[in-house]
Amino acid sequence: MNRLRGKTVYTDTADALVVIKTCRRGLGRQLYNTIASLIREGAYKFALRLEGSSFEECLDEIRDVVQGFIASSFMVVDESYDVKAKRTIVVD
Amino acid sequence: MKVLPNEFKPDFIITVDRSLMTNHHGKEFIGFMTTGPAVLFPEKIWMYIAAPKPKVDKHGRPLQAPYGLRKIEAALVDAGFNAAIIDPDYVHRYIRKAKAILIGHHDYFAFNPPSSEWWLVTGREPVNRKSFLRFISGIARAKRELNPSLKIVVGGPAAWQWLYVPHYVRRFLVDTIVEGEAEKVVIELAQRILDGKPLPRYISVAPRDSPRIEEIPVIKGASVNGLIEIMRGCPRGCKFCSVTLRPLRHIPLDKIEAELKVNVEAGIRDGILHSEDVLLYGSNNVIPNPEPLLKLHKLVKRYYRVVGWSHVSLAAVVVAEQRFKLITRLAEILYDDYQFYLGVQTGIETGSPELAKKIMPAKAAPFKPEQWPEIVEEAFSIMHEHNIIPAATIILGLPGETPDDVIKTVELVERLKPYRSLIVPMFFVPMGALRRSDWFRAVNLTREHAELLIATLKHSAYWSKEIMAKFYLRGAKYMPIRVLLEMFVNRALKFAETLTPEKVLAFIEEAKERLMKSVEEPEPLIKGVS
Repeated sequence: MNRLRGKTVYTDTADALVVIKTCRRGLGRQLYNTIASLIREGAYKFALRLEGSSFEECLDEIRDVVQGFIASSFMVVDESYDVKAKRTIVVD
Repeated sequence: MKVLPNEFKPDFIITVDRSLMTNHHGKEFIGFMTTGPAVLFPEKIWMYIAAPKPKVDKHGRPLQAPYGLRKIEAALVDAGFNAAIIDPDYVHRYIRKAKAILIGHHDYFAFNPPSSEWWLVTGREPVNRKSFLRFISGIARAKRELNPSLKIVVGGPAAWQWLYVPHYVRRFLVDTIVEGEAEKVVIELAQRILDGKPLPRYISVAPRDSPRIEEIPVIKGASVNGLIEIMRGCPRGCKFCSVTLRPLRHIPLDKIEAELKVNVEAGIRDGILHSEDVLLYGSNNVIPNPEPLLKLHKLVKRYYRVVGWSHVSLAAVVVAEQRFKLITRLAEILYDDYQFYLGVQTGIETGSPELAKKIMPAKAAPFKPEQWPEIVEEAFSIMHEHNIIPAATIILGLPGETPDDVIKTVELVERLKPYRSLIVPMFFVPMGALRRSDWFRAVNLTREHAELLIATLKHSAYWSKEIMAKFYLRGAKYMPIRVLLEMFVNRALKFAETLTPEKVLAFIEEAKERLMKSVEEPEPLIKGVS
C-alpha cells in the first residue's frame, strides 16, 4: 500500500466553505464575486455546500464559478457532507 | 498484469465505452473516425473500422487500455485497492458486487473538436457520442436494477462536459465528477466509497495540487498502441488551450523505461511518445535540448520497433533542425528496417500573424509571432524531407478573427500543398453556448471560412491517398481497412471538386436545420432554469 492512502488532502478540507442556501437565478454572479474576494484574501481551495437545492438544479449557477477560477480548487458537496474549513460564508 | 486476486471481483471497475476501449487496429489516427458520424458505410462497419473490440483475458480485462485509465488503475492498485480495467462488454459480470465504476473519457458528449465540427457539418451525431450514451444508459440501468449502492464517478479530460448537461448527470445517476489530474484524489474518493462516506458531487484539482513526478504511478498493464507519457503541461500559454495551465513536468527516463517494459511484456512492439510538445522533452524553455531528447529516443528504440510522436510544435521543429540538426539526428535513431516515417499531430491554428499574436503569442517562440506563417511553412518542409507526416489543426472562428485573418490562412494552406500532411479545420465553439441544446447556432461561418474548409478538404484528400498507400496502411495486413478508407477518400475528393463556398454555406445551414429538428430538449431541473 503506498503512502498516499489514508491521507486526506482533497476531500475534507478547504480554505473556505461557502454554504449555498438556495439556488436561484443570479446566484452565480453573487457567488463569483464572493469567491473572487476570497481569492484576493489568499484562499484557493473552496468547498461549495448545497443546502436547499440539488447539485443538478444548481449546476447552471455554479458552473461558471468552478470553471472560471482556473487556478483554484473546488469541491461541491451536499448538505450531509462534512468539510473542515478555515472560514465559512453563507450565500443566500 | 501481475495483480490477480484468486477470485476476481474488482471493487473498482475502470472502464469506458467502445469508442475508446479499442486499439483502432494498432493505428491511433484511425481513432479519429469515432469523432464523426458513420458516412458511406453502415454504423457497424464504421465502428469496426474505427474502434474494433480489443483482445481481452478471461476476466474481460483488455490487453491494451487507454493510458489515462491505466494511470487511475495504477494509482488505485498501488494504494492497495482492488481495481481493474474492464472492457465495456464484460462490465455486467462484476456490477452487482462492485463498489464503484470509474469512467474516463476525452469527449463524452462530442462537444470537443473535431467531434463537434463533424456533428455540425453533417447534422448527425458522431458515433463516439452515440456509443457513450448507449454505454452509460446501460450502466445507469444496472445501477438502478442490480446495485443501487454502486457509485458512478466520471473524470478524464472531458469531465467538464458533464457540467453542461445536468439532465444527464441526473438521468445517468452520476455521483461524482472529477476534473484535473486525478491520480491522487482518486485514492481519497476510493477510500470514502469503501468507508461508506458521502462523496463530493464535483471536485477539481487545482494545477498547484497536481501530482508531482514521484506521485505519478507507473502503469500496470499495457496502454493502447504503446502510448507512454513523457511530459505533462506545456510552456506556450496559448489562450485556447487548458493544458498550458498545468505545471510542466518531464517524466524521468527510468519511469519511461518501466512503462516501456510493461508494454513490451504485453507483446507491444510499437508505441507513441505522448507530450504536448515532444521536442521540448528535457528542456526548461522553448529551445529543444538535444541531449535528453537523443537519450530518450535511443532508450525507446531499444524497446519499440516503431515510434510515433503525439504532438510537436512547429516552432520547435524549425529551431531543432536549424540550431542542432536535431530532426535529422532523431530520424537517424528512429529509422531502420522497421520504421521509415513518423506520424505526429501539430497545430497551425491560423495563418495570420496578427491573430497569432493575439491568441498564441508564444507558439512561435523563440521566433516572433509575426514570422508565424514562415515558421509553419519551414516546419512542414523540414518534416516532409524527413518523412514526418503531420496532421495539423486550424481553428476557425476564434475570438477577434477577421475575414483578412481567414484569407491569410487560406493562402498558407495553399502554400503547404507540396508537403505531405493532413490539415483539419476545427470550429471554435464558445463554452457558454454548450449549455444550450442548439449550441451549434453559435458557430457562424463566413464565405472566407467556407473557402478555407474547401482548401483543407482538397489538401487532405489529395495527400491522404499517398499517406495511406505508401506509409500509414502499407502492406497486406491493412489491405481491407485501406480499401474501405480509399473508397471513402475517393468519394471525399470527388465531393471536394464540386464544392463552392456558396454550396458549403448552404450545406451547413441545412445541417443546422436538421440538427434543430433532432435536438433533444433537456428536461428543466428547476422552474425557469434548464
